[in-house]
Amino acid sequence: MAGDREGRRGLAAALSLPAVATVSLGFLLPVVWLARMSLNPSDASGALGEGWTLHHYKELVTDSFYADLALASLKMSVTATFFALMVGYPIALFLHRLESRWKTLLVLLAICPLLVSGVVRAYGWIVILGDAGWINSMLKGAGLIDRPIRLVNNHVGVAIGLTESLLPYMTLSLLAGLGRLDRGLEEAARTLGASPLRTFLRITLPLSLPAVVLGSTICFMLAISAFVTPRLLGGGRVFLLATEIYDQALLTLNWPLAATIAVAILVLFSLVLVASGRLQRRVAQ
Amino acid sequence: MLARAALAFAALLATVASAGAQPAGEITVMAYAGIFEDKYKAAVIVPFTQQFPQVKVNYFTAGNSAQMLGTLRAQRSSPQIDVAILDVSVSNVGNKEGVFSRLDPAKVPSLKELHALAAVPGGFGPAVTFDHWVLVYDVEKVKPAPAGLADLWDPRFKGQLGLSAMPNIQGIVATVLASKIVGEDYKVSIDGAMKRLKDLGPSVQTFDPQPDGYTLILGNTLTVASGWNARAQLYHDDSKGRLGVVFPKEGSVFQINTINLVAGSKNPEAATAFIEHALGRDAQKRFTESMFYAPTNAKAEVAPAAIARTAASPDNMARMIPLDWDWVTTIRDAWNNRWRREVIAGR
Amino acid sequence: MPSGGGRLALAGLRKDYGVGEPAVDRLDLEIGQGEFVALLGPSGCGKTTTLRMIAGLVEPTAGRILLDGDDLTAKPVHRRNIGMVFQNYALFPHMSVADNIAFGLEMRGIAGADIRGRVAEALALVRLSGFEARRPKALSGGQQQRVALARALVIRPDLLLLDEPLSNLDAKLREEMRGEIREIQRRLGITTVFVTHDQTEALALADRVAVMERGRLAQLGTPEDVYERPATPFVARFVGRINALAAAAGGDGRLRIAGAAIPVADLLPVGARATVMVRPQHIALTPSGGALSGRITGLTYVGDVVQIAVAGDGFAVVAERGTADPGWRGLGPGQDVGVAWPATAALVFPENANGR
Repeated sequence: MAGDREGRRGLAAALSLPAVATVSLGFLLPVVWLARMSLNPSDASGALGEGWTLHHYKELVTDSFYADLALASLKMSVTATFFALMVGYPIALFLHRLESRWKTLLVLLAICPLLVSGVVRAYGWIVILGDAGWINSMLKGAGLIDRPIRLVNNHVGVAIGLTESLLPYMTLSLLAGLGRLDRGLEEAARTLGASPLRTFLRITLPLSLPAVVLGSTICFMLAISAFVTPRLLGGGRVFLLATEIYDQALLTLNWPLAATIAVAILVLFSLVLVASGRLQRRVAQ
Repeated sequence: MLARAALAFAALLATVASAGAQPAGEITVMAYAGIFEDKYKAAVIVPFTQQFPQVKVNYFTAGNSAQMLGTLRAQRSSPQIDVAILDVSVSNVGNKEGVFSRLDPAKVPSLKELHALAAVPGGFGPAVTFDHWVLVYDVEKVKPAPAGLADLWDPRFKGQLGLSAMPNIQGIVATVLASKIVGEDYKVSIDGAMKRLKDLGPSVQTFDPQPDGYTLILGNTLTVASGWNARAQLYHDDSKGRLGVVFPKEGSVFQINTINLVAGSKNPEAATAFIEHALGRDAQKRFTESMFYAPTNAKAEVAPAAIARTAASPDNMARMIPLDWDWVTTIRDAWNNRWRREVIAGR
Repeated sequence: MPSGGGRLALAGLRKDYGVGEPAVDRLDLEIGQGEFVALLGPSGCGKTTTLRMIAGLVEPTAGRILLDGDDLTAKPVHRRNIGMVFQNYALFPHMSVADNIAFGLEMRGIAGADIRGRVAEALALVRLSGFEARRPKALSGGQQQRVALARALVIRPDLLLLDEPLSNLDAKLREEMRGEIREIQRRLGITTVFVTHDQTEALALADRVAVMERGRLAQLGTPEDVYERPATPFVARFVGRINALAAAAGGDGRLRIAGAAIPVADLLPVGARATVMVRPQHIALTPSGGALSGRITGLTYVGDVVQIAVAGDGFAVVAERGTADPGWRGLGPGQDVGVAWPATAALVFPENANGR
């Protein structure tokens, strides 16, 4: 009997081995490597040295430039997440309520931007937002402006591009989280004398808050780690933690510093996750 | 029976010995992708394999120079690449890290024929191409053409400029040229350059043209941008002259690609032979004529029409501003921060 | 908790979703003050659509809804002052029991102190005092049901709508809640419309039952009316169990069923075809003789009654005997019996042209 049980335990361990191996090799190992890299010395040229140092962490904490970067990243991610929520919420609510055979098709339509590479979408935005792009052409044609307004190659362009890139994720997570929202609850509120607006504020919104927290958390994480969109739409003017990692790793060659910033983002991630988890529990009551 | 075996063994030894004299086997060359790859294969690699049919040459790409060094760092314990062509500022780092080996001058006789600027301290891989910073513009829209960096402050370019800023090395050259405009020594101070470039900031549409300035001009997003001569010349030809290339009146700075032997190469014989070939007169001549990188071999006899379009023409050579790329790595972070805070953020 | 209670009138009400037959068609119904009316019918008969139109959750395609003579048809839901209890109760999961009940009062701008008093009163009415702070998911099904009822009643609605409120409860609780709902409704004297597919529930609760079939009103009457004097074979079949036998008129005041002549009250032209319907409890089984003779094919014991299936040449019926009477115990499958029923117990529905 005991041997049988032991055998089973052994089998369970053996069966979970591929998963454990995948997680360790695919996730833990790179993170450990990253943490180790952040402790390597490097000289001004970016040459990688041997040994251990906390120099880059000191630099990160003491140089106000990185605080500025963190603040800019935070602002940009919160902005993009907020607008993605503003646009994604009505879409998700509409799709959630839809009782049509077109529903699946429309949900697919809402997430199909994911099928297109972020690079291609960013170039699409350059075409739309550029000085000679659709928006400026339209505004010019309508006589509203005589010089093009700069909508790309700055923070505005990055915010627009990021918002769009987050939108499918926001819509999907909201849609997944709206399961608890029963149309009957809104109807009940209406029969009890609540106007459509008050029904939304007192019933729909509070019940969708867990979905909002979930979607916003996912989007915030994606936004703060995004570098393709800021790079392509920022015109070299938008400095964020993620673009700094790219610059340090792939232009300035300072891998330890790049790794240090990456570790900082990881720490930020865990803080956001913990906060989001708490918020989730609170709003889910 | 025994005699015959001994004979066969001797023959085998002879083959091995001749193989030692005549490179054979396989090597992998890492360099830039895209048009560089096409031109380099045709002008340098194919003739090499014709000369050494026993050597198979693989061409490997890994993005920009820093990404190439990243690949080499990752392969330190077992290099899969034998020869790497990359920017001197990055290869210097590789030399310090021990990623590259010194060359044996006896096996690379062309070293003696190289231009003085091509030498790299410590006997590491020397320059294999010279390129230089240029302005490119839309010939149809920009009349008259800008003569140099100083002309970009002209209000007619407002919002239509693409100026690659630091940490892109084009930004380093722009700093050096701006220092020259205001009459300061960039080795002492770049305060004047920063102040001047800050005024240019609002006119700049993008400090990081994506994918590059040439494409954005031909795509009607920009009218003037900074760039590198070799690619600019190719785009000039491809666009049937619509993309104009200007050697700035302030002068220019060399961008240098070095050719390096990877430390721990499994076939150093063939790799060294390839480097000798790449630095040799014929390969240098062919590559300059096909892609307008100035030759680093002073003895290369390049067609005058091609030379005129490179920094190697006597006119241009006289206006080149010396810049020690090894020194640049020591001030790069400081300059980079000043660009961000003063020029780009306009503070 | 006094309540006004309104007179409800539906005039030519129609709902057409644009596909197939209209969900509700030409529905006229008048419900008096304080009356309890059940809308009864199988699923898809339009009863729920009718209720939702009264509540304002579904917009009628045509027709009018009048409450105390006031036309509600164009009035938005939240201005109708109608209390509704939903099938799944629709309690707000993020609010306590007290907040759920207070919701409608808050929407009416009633002062906090008054709200507390009325919530307590409503909870007392449904015997849930002390449950104020609970969350709905911490309540049993029956308790949730009562909260939903309290929430609908606390606003002192002119009309109470109940959408299959008992269908999610187990059998025992259902019976208990049935009594409770009826008691509260009587006490408050509130006009109530109740939707159900369960005929027992409808008969037990309602003053009048409106049987619906395919969007139309098939019969409106007291429980006795619809059970004993069904207007159509559909009503007869839907309300209670019944035997149906194909018959032809003999022209002599008798109908012929499976070759035997049965006396009936109706006079039909010779050869006319009809369906004769008899409730199982009216079927008498005799050891021999009787109008029809057959053989017992099976007995089903369901507790208070036993169902005896009898088949003969060209007919099959089910008779019921109360199990309190030991007479059935002698019966068993294979026994030959005579089948008879009192002429007054037979319902005769002449077949019309379309065979219905």
